[in-house]
Amino acid sequence: MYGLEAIEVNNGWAISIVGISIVFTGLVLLALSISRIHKLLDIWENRNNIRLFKKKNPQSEAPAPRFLSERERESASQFYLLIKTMDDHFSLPRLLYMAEMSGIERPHSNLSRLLKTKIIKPDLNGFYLFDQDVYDSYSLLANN
Amino acid sequence: MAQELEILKNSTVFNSLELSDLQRLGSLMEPLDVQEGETLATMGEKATRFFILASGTLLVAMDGGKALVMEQPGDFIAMQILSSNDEYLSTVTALEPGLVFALNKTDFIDLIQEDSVMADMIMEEWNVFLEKSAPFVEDKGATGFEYNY
Repeated sequence: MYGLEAIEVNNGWAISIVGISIVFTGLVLLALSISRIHKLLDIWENRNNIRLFKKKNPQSEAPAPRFLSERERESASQFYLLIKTMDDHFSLPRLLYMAEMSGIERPHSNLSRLLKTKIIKPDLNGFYLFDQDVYDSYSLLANN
Repeated sequence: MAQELEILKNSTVFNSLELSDLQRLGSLMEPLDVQEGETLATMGEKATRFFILASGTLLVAMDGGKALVMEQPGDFIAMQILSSNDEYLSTVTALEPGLVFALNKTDFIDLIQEDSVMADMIMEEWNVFLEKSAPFVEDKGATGFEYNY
């Protein structure tokens, strides 16, 4: 038996279709892989920027101080009075200047303390906000 | 030198550099003890130095009342304080006593001009840092930090 008849009898058509499909699938996958190579190279070149592989800075999340001394609380309430005269989103340099003019004791370090306790927080637009809840929580801690 | 290297390794701007680059950078750093209320740079004055924070807290006061507080060791106080005409655009004041490393602007720019790969890495990390810490800083390109290679 020869020719088309032999192909038919021995499942030649089905085998051919399977073979063609396998080859074309392989070629498509190869083409897709080649077209993505530039992305892989970009990732490799910028591997230092991948957050997953970066070392975390152990000092980046310093815990907020748990207590304020009596002097610091007094200073915080003086800052609070000044902030009440300003907009909700206030300028930190302006607040510092007003604190200096008002004669608040050690305005720089006391302002720093308020930042560390998160009583004063950045609004991410260059201005700062006073967090009443955090301020109240420190006052409550002091009263207990 | 060990302390300088440690600070640079912890800095998000510099920690991707090779050890030899960090050593070259470290050799340019001059330690400065700063006191509470001390002014390191004044807006409008001739800009001569960048600063890298080792300890303490710095207030970077910008135009329009905006400000940035730097308190992480390795924080790099650079382009947000410089204009392209070599003047400080911001006033940098210490809120707490601490240690700051000063980098002469000319020395630093000379160093990165010698090595384009290092310059690219610093610029890239600097932009990431600035985007994260001070997204409100406008016109990040006009900084006086331009380099040619």
